[in-house]
Amino acid sequence: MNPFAETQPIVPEERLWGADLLSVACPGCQRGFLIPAGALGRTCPICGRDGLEPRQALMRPEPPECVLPFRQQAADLGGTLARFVEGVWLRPVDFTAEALVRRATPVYWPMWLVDGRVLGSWEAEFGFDYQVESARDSLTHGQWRSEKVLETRIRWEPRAGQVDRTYANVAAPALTEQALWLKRLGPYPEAAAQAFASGMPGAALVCIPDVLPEEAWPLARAELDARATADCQTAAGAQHVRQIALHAAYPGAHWTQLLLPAYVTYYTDDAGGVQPVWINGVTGAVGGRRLASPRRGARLAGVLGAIAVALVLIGLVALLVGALFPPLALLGGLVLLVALGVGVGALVPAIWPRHWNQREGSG
Amino acid sequence: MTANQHPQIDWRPPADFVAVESLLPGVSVFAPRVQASEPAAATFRCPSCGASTRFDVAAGGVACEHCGYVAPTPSQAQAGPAKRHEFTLAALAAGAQGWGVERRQLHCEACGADLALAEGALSTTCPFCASAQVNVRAAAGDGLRPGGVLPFTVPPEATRSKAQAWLGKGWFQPSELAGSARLESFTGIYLPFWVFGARVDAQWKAEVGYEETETYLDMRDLKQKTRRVVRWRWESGSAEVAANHVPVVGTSRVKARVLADILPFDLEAVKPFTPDYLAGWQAQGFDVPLPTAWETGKATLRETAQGACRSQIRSGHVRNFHMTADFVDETWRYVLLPVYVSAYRYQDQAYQVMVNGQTGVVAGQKPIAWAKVWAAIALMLAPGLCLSLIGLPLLLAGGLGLAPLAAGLVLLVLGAVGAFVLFGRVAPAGGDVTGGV
Repeated sequence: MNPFAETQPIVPEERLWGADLLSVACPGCQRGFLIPAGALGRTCPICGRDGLEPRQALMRPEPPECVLPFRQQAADLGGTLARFVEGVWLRPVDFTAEALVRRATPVYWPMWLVDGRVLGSWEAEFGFDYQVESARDSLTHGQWRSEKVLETRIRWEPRAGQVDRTYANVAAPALTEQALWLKRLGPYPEAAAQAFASGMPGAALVCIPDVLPEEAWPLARAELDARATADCQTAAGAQHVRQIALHAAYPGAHWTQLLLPAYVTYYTDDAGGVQPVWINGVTGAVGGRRLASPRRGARLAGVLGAIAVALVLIGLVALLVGALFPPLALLGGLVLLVALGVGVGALVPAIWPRHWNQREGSG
Repeated sequence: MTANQHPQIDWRPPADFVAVESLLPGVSVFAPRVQASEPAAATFRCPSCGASTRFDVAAGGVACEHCGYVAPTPSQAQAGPAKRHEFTLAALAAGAQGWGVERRQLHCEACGADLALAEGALSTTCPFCASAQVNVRAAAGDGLRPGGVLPFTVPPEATRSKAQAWLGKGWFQPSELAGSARLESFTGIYLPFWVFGARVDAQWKAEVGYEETETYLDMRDLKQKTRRVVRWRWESGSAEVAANHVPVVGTSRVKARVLADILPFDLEAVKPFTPDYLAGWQAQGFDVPLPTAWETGKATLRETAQGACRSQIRSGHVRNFHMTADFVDETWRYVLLPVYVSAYRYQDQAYQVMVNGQTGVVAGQKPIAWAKVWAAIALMLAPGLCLSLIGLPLLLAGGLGLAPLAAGLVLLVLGAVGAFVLFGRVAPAGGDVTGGV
C-alpha cells in the first residue's frame, strides 16, 4: 500500500484551501509561498528580495489539518526585538528594532503530521532493575559494626512479541530548513493547535513544503519505530534496553500538515548581506544571527588611534618644554601614558566585532 | 493478543518462549519459559519389580535391592556447580521464613496415602507401601529449594568400623570404651548448608610500633647506655579476600561442635540437585534462616579479611586497629551435604557420633576419664613443684637454691598453662569431649 497521498502541481491562479491563495516564489532564494491574492510583488521575508512572482508548485491539494494561531501581535514585537538588538555593541546601521519591526512578515511554516499504524514483531534484550543487599562492615575498637548497602542491578533477559499500535500526529519535516527554523524559533505548544478553517492564514504568507511526503517518510518511519520500540519496552515492564529489532509494516499512514506561526524579518550587514531574524508567533522567542559591524569598529578604532597620536605629540612637546620648565616634563609623561592607553584601547573596537561575529556564526 | 491475531504477519514466538503479562494494549510479550515452580514430589519404585528403590552409594544411582535394577542419575550427565544466587531482597525475605508448615504433608503417589513429614524433613519412606518419597517443594519460592547436593561416597557399611576405630583412639577416655560402647546403626542424612561466596575489599589503618635501640645518657652514673624503645606510626593498607565456599550449617538439630569436627566437605564436588540422591535417605530442610546464616558467613569472611590485613603489618606492636570490609559480589547456595549420624550408649549415657559422608572423617562426643585428666595435670605441675620445693629450703639455708627455685617456678607456670589448656580442651561442654579422626 502506498502510504503517500498524491501530490500534484498547483498552478498559481488556482483557488486553494477554500481561499484565494496564490502560489509564488522568490526569484532570489527560490523559496515558494502561498500568498493572499493581490499581494503579488511583496518582498521575500527571508532573503529580502522584492517581487515575489507567480510560480507553479508541487504540493498536496487538501488543506492542512491543524493551525497554531498567532499569539504574538505584530504591534508587540518592538519590545522583544529591542531586547534582541540591545545586546550587540557596534551593530550595523540597519540592525535596529525599528527596522526589524517594519520588515516583520507573518509567515506560517509547515510540518508534516503522520497518523501511522505499526504492525509487526519485535525481539529485544531488556534490562530489569532489581535490588540486592550488600554490606559494609567496619571494625572500631574491636567491635564490628555492619551497615546495609542496597545496590540496584540490572538483569538482562530476552523478550519478543508482536506490536499493533497506532500513533497520531508524528511530526516529520516539510522544509529542508526545518532544523534551522526550530533552532531559531524554539519549541511550539503543539497541543494548542486548532483545526484549519478556510481563510485562516489571513494576511500571512504560507511556506510551501519543499520536502515531499516520500522524502520525509524515512524520518517519520524512524519516529514511528522509536515510539513502537518504546512501547514494547513499556509493555514488557523493562527499565533498560540493550538491543531491539523491529520488523514492522505501516499500513494506512495518513499525512496532513500542521502550520506553525512565525514572524520573519531581516537586516542587512556591512557587506549588504541579508540576515534573517525569526520570531516565534506563539512564544515570542527570537532567533537569528546578531552580527556586529566590523566597519563601525574600524571607524571607531581609527578615531581612537588619531586621538592617541595627537596625545603622543602633545606629550613629546611637553617633555621638550619640560627641559626648560620641569613641571611640564611630568605632565608630558602623564600625557604619553594616557596616549598609550588610548592607543591600546583602539585595538578593542577593531578586533571585537570580528570575534563576536565568529562566535555568532558558530552558534 | 496472540500470535495468530495478525494473519498478515506470519510470526511465531521463539522456541521455549511463553506469553507473559503485557502492560500495554496492542503489544504482546513473550519471555523464555521458566521451570515450573512447584515440582511434584518424587516417588521411587523399581520399574522392573515394583519394589522400593533407593540411591545406592556404590552403584552411583537409584538402585533396586531386590532385582538389581540401577537407574542412571540424571545429574551425573550434568556439568557445573549448583546455581549461585544473589542476595536479592526477595530472596532474603523468603529465606527468613524458613520451611513452611503447609509443606509437611506429602501425598504418596504409589499407594495414595497422605503422609505427615517430620518437621523440616525433605524425604521419607511410606509406611504403607515402603516407597521412597522426596519432597523438594519449598514454601517460599524456587530459590529456597536445595540447589545442590553432595552425594554420599562413604557406603553405610563402612561407617561402623570407622566409628569403632575412632572410639578406640584418644587419651582421656575410658580404656574400655571401644569394647563396651553399644553403637547403634548409622543413619545417612543430608543436612542443609548455606554456602556463601563473596569478595571482601578491606581497608585498614593502625598505629604500628617498631622497636628501636636508642642511646641515652644515664644521669645517675653519667654513662652512655642503650635501651629498646617502641616508635609508633600510623600505617594503612588494603587487602582483597575472595571466598567461594564458606559453609554455614542450616539446621539447629545437630550439635554444631560435632559437626564442625567433621568438616570440611569438598564443595567443588557439589552436584546440581536431583531428588534421586535423596531416594531412600533422610534429608533435612533448613531451619536456620538465610539472613542469620549470612551473618555467620560474613563473620567468617571478616575474620579472614582481618587476618589478611594483619599479615601486612610487620610488627607485633599494633594498636588502634581500624578496618572496613566492603562485601562485593555476594552469592549464596542452598545445598545438602551427606552425614551419617549415630549414637552409642556408655554407662547409661547417650553420646552422638557423626561421619562425614564424603570424606569418612568421624567425630562425636566421648565420655571423659577424669582420673586420667587429673593425672595428666598432676604430671604437668609436678616438675615445677618439686624443683621449687627443693630450691626454697636450699635458698633459705645457704643461698644455693636460687637457680633451682627460679627453674621450678618457670616450670610450674608452664605446667599450669598446659593444665589449663588441657582442661579447656577436654571439658568445654558439660564434661563431654568431642574429637575428629
